[in-house]
Parts: sequence; structure tokens; C-alpha cells
Amino acid sequence: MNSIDISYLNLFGVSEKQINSILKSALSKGGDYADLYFESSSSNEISLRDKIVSSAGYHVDYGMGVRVLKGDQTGYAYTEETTLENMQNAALTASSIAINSKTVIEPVNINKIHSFKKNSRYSQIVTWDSISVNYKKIILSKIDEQIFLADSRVVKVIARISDSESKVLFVNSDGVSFSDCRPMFSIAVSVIMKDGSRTENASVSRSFRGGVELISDNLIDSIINEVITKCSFLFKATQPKGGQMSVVMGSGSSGILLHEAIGHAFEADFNRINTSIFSDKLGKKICPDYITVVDDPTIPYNRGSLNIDDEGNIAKKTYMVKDGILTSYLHDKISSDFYKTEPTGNGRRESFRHMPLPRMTTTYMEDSNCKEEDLIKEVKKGVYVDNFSNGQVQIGVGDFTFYVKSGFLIENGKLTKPIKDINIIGNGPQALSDILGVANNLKIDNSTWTCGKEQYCAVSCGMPSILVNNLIVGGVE
Amino acid sequence: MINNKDLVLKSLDIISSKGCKNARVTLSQGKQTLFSVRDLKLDRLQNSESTSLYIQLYNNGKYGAFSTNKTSLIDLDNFIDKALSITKLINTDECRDLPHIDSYYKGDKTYEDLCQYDNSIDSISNEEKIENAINSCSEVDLSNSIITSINCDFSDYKEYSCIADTNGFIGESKISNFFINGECSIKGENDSRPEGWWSESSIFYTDLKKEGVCTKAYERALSRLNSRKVKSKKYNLIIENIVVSRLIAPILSALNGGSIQQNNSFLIDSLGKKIFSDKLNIFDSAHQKRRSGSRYFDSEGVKTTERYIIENGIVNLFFINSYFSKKLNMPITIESSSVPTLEWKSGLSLDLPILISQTDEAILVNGFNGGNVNSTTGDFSFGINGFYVRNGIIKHPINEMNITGNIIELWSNLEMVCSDFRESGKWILPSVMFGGVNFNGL
Repeated sequence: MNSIDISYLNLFGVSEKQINSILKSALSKGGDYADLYFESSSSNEISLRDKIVSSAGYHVDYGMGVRVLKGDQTGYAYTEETTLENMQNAALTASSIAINSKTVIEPVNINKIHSFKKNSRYSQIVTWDSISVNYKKIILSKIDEQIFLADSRVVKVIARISDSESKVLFVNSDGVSFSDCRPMFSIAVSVIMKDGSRTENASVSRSFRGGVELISDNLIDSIINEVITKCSFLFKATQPKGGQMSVVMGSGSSGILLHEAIGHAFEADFNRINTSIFSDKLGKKICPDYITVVDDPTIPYNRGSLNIDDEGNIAKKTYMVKDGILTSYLHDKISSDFYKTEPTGNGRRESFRHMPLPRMTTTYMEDSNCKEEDLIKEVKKGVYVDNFSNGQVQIGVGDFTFYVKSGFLIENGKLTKPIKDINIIGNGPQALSDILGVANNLKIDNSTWTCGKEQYCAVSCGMPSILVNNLIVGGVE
Repeated sequence: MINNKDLVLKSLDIISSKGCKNARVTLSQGKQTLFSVRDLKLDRLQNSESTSLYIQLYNNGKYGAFSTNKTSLIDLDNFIDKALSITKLINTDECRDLPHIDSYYKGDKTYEDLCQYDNSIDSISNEEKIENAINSCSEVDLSNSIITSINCDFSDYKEYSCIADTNGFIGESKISNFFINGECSIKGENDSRPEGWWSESSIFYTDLKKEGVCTKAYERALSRLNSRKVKSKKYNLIIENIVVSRLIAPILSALNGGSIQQNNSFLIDSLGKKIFSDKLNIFDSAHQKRRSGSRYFDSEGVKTTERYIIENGIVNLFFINSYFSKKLNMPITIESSSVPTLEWKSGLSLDLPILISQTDEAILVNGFNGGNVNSTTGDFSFGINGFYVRNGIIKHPINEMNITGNIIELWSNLEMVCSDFRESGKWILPSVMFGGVNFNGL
């Protein structure tokens, strides 16, 4: 007989019998489907400022959410106390989405249980709760000291380590259950440098799903070198003259272009209600043959990785665009039922307080056969950009933007003047067809990317260098 | 389980009994309902009740900030043990301390109710909330083939919070809020689906403007049809009141004590200096009744004051909390603004249509799309949409363009402040016009 991991049942103080009873309540007014999402999270952070490790924090968040579906309608309620009474009340509240329905179905007994104790994509050798605050203090002090040693223009450093662990138990009325332990950590460093009368700032972060063993000297050194390089660069840079021009996007964090310009518009909730500019494009050619875009939660220890999504579907690699053709949207249960297709494992939620939505995980473009230097040579007048802070998209019209912290002008095929602090704007479908070349240098960016579509979810992105025509580059006269 | 104020005081007792002499405990208990109606059918209902206990320990200069939503006495005791053990390992920072008691809000009979809570909130039925959303959707004719989707959310929120510290400060507050948001998507050219939105909010249910929300969302979507880019050059920039906050926020952020202390502000050394246009006056209306954000004390218990943040272009105030007060050796002011108010001192009644009619050439911005500000230099670049204005008339919508410049320079070129502030929302901001802003398009 299949049984849920007893340690998770104990963690939330529930039995399988009680779970069945809550699911029954959730379906009692005629819902088609119900699921229960139990979550116990703890997180820590510690930070250094003005050379002192002067602040630490520890946070606990605990509760369970009940979701009921009636067709494409959703009822959702949660409780922060997992007493049977509170859970039953939450179930009854969520069940009212189906009020006036005459047919009542019973939940199926648990028959499919996923556990990732042995095959997790983010197994930990050394867990974060097993190490002392002192270990983190040593890392922060080392970062601080090395940054001040590296450049005399440094006046301020803020460094921070945060880690979290979320234990999730899920059961639905179709008899599917999973338990999963999801770690995450990030190291973030900001510096302020002064050079004469000018002051500039730069920030760098790294984030992974995994244990303490992923922190290495190489990782720390790369953060230190990158933050100094980025901040130093800004003293040479200015805002360029703006306008419509060609843009070469360097490998790595340029994946923000995919996330904003393509990824969101391919999330099936927008397409299901016909508000995405790609709503009628499934199966159609939307860009040149040499473009393939994937959402991939399978990369070990990656910030965007998942064993299983928050609806009990194994998280898997999905080709959104293959050889220029839109091959799949990213689905949650509601949209995969609507499109009568297999779930893609993209039903995600911020926490037990939120209902799942179709969300990206790690989104990247696969390599093609150009070289980055050849893409640059193609451009007579344009910009090369490889350092970004944030982006946004308007799903309906497809206009996307991303903010460039730094880059270069391209003049007659060569990188010339350093530039900074410009917004770039384009239109998704147009920009896709205006990608003139894709390089062979794919890089996944491991910064602390967080997507804010209604709820906050950890994501990641990547990209080989590409050349895009006719984007609008911000600038001054 | 212990509730509300008793839980806060009990937590302080436990902390003190374990040897920590200085601490602050903040309890927040919130409840929210949301009903979302799409194309006249209930699409989502959500019900949330949350508790958060936030504990700040100042143990002889060793500081930690901790939060939990597990508030049984056993859980709390264990949690505080862990918090204290972590704090002990942190380095001493003498600037970490509670505020001096002179800076606290102490209450007074002269202090009037700021009217932040509607006692009727629990009496409004779910059926009425759903009906509000359906009625709003019904304002738009769904049989109109241009419409792809019309959505209306009705939500309400209430929160009780209690702050207490070992200096003896205790402050309680209750707030309520009602929201109605409409979103409309229509068929545009080349497979595009322009969207429009509108929202209203209020502290009191009877103040909520429920009518016209989805109509405005539909009209705003319709106004975006046939958008196009215009030539890159400097234009006058008119900003509609609903999005002015995007350009005020960088100023308020730069006045924050943390930014000043870290040299991460483009307004360092600006206190008492004329930095912006004479026309820029930002007042903190902290005690305005029936206005979200009004308060008598901040999250440290420090009393709020109604005063100018910027007056006639002169920077009048940095936001200094207890920590940065010691770091910067400056007096505590307040941790942040309460109700930022962009004042029009001309006394003339001027709204957006009049301003447009008096303008030779400009771009009217009614939405932002991404962008950011360099916090150290004030350089900015934002994506925008809006309308091209010529000879006092809106000619056509524009999209896929950026504005780029520097925040200080932008607000130095402030030419006009209207009097058309919205009645809802935390910030009181009218439409404004700037001269000579770089627009990047064709």
C-alpha cells in the first residue's frame, strides 16, 4: 500500500484519514478537483555593512492552502494553523466556488506518491541549518576585506547571505501526492565606489538550490571580481544617444529578453483567456529556424530548478520554440485541461498562501552556430549589452523592456564607448523575427532572479549572444 | 492561544526573562477577501487570514530581526530562544538601539481619529462583493466583438497591528481598505491585444467609487489602438496623475537615511539646499483623515509630523530612523514618508484636459513599461506609453518608446503642477508637465 512519508505527516500534524476528510469537504459543494498544499519554511539572513556583521534574521512561515476547481474557476483559502477544524473551514471556504452544483464527487484514494529523497535535483550534503552563524560571518568578512583590498576607490560594501528551506506536502483529489524539500541560498554584494567627484554603485549576486557545499572559493572570488569590474566600468560610461538601432545581447543574463519578451507571453493562462499576443500562434512559425527556446527545471542545483511542480506534475524540459516554431505553452492544470494537453510541470506558487499559476523555471535559448565577434562585426551602429537589472512586458501588445546597467556602443563593427543606465524596449513578436543571428556560447546566469507575476517565484535564465535589429534604445542628446 | 496586544506583551516578557533588555515586538493580523469576475462569471475567490509576529532584539548592540507565524506559547518560547542564540553571535554595532523616548508618539487628547478603519467591513456579504464586480463588468457590452476579455476584481483588506518595546512604547492601529480593479483586453492590429485598466480604492466602503471602473478600463484599452512611435527628440512631457508616483519615488528613496549613509543617493549633501525647480513642493500629509497611509507613529513608534519634505525646490527633510540617526549623527526624523503630497501652490484650478489644450507640442504619458533609476547618480531610463499632443489636441497614441535623463534635471525642469489629484490612494499626486525631456523612438 502506498503511504505518504510519515515525517511530513508528523511535521504538519495530519493523518491520511484527515487529509481525505478535508478533500471531501473541499469537494462537498460540487467542485471537480481539489488539492491541499502544506508548507513549512524557515529562512535565515545575515548581513555586513560598514565592516561589521551587524544584523541577522530568522523567519518561520507555516500553513496549508486548499484549492478547489470547478471547470476553470478557482476557490482558494489557507490557514496558518493545521488543526482539523481550521483546515476544514479553509476547505469549505474554497469549496464555495462550486456553489449550486448538483453533482458531488469523492476524492480518489492516494495511489501515486512522489518522493525525492534519493533523486532530488537539489540534494544537500551539508544542510544550512547544520552550520553556525560564525561560518557565514567568516565568508562575509572575507568578501568585505578582499573588495576593499582590490580597489582603493571602494567606500562602502554591503554583503548578505540568505538561505531557506521549504518542506512541502501535496495531496490532490485525483490520488496524487508528493513531498519535497526545497533549499535555496543566495549571496549578494553591493559596492559603492568614489572616483573624484563621481560615485557609482554595482551589485552582484549568486543563487542556487542546494547545500552549503556549493559555496567555494571560486564562487566567492567570482562575485568579488565581478562586482569590482562592474562598478569600475561605470566611471568610464555615459548614457548614449538613443533611438532605434541594432543590439547585440551578450551571453548569460541577456536571458531576461527571453523571460520578458517570450516566456510570459507563452504562459498558458494568458493564452487561454486570449489576452496574449501569441494566443493564436501555437504550431506556427514565429521566428527564424535557428531559434530554439526551452524552459528547463532539470538543471541540478539551479535557482529555477524543481523536482515537481506545485500541482504534483514532474517538472520537465519543455520546448516552447523549436526551430522557429511555437511548439508549446507553459501549463498549469487549468490550462492543460483547457488545451487537452499533458501538463508541462509549470504550475507554481510563491507559498501556501497562493494558488498555482503557469510560471517559468529556467528559461534559455539553445546555441546556434555564429560567433559573438561575428555578430558584433555585422553592426554598423548599435549597442552591445550584457549587464541588466530588471525587465517587464505588456502581454497583450507584446511590448517588453529591460534595463541595461552597462554595455558598449558598437560603431562600424567594433565595441567603442562604454555606456550605462538605459532602458531598451521592443515588441516581442517583432523582436523574435528580427533576431539576425545566434551565437554558440550559451551561458546560464546564476544571479538571484525573481519573477513577480502576481506572486514571487525564483527563476533563472540564460542565453547565447544574439543580434537583434530595430530595438529602441534609451539615451540622451 | 493569546491574542493581539497580550501576545505582544507576553513576547516582550519572555524576551526580557531570557536576559535581553532591549527589544521591539510587532504583531500584524490581516484578513483579505478577493472575488474576481471574468466575462461576467466568477473566476476566482480567495480568502486569506495571516498573522505575523516580528521581533527585533537589541542585545547590547547586537541586533537581530526575526519573524514567525507560529504563535503558540511553546512555539514562541522556542523561537525566542533561537533568536537570542543567533543574536549573541552577531558583532556589536553601537548604533543598534531603540529610539530615545523623547522621539516617541505619546498620544494626546488633541489627537483626533485619523479614520483609518471601517467598522462595517465584516458586515458586507460575499454576495454583495461579487455583485459589485459583476456590475462593473456589466458596464461594458461583452457582445462587442472588439472585446477579448473584461475582468473585475473586488477585494477588501483589514489589518490590526500592535507595536511595543522595552522602552514602554505601545501603539495599536487598525486599517481597512476596499479595492475595485477593472482590466479590459481588446482586439488590436497585427494580433495585438491592447489592454486598459482602472482602479479605485477607499478606506470606507461607502466612499468607494464602484461605478465606471470597467468603463474606464475599456476606454483606456480603446485609446491604445493604432499606437505608433514618434521621432526621437526632446519633447515637453505631461504625466497623468495616476503614474506620477513613478517619478516621485526615486526622490523619496534618495532621501532615505540608509541611502544617504551608504553614499548610495543622488541627494547626498542636499539638505537645506535648492536642488529642484521652485515649483516642486512635496508635503507629508501624515495626519490627513480618511487617507491611506496617515499615521501618528512609524514602525519604531517615532511620532509623525506634517511638514514639507521639499519646499520651493529646497530639500527640507531626510528620512532618518534610530539606526541611521546614530550612524549619521543626525536627529531622528521619521523612517519614511506617510502621505506624500505634491502641492500646487499657484492656487489655480488646472486639470489634464486644460493643460493639454494649452500645450503646443508634448507627449502625454499615462503608463510606464519597465525602466529604472541609478540610485547613486539619478540617471534614469523608462519605457512609456501615452499620446502625442500637438496644438492642444491629442493626435494619436504612442508606444514602444523610452524617456531618458536625470531625476534632478527632470524635476528642475518642472513647468506645471495641476490640481487634479485623485481622492483614493496613499499618495496625493496631480498631473504635471516638464520641459525638454529626451524621448527615444524612431
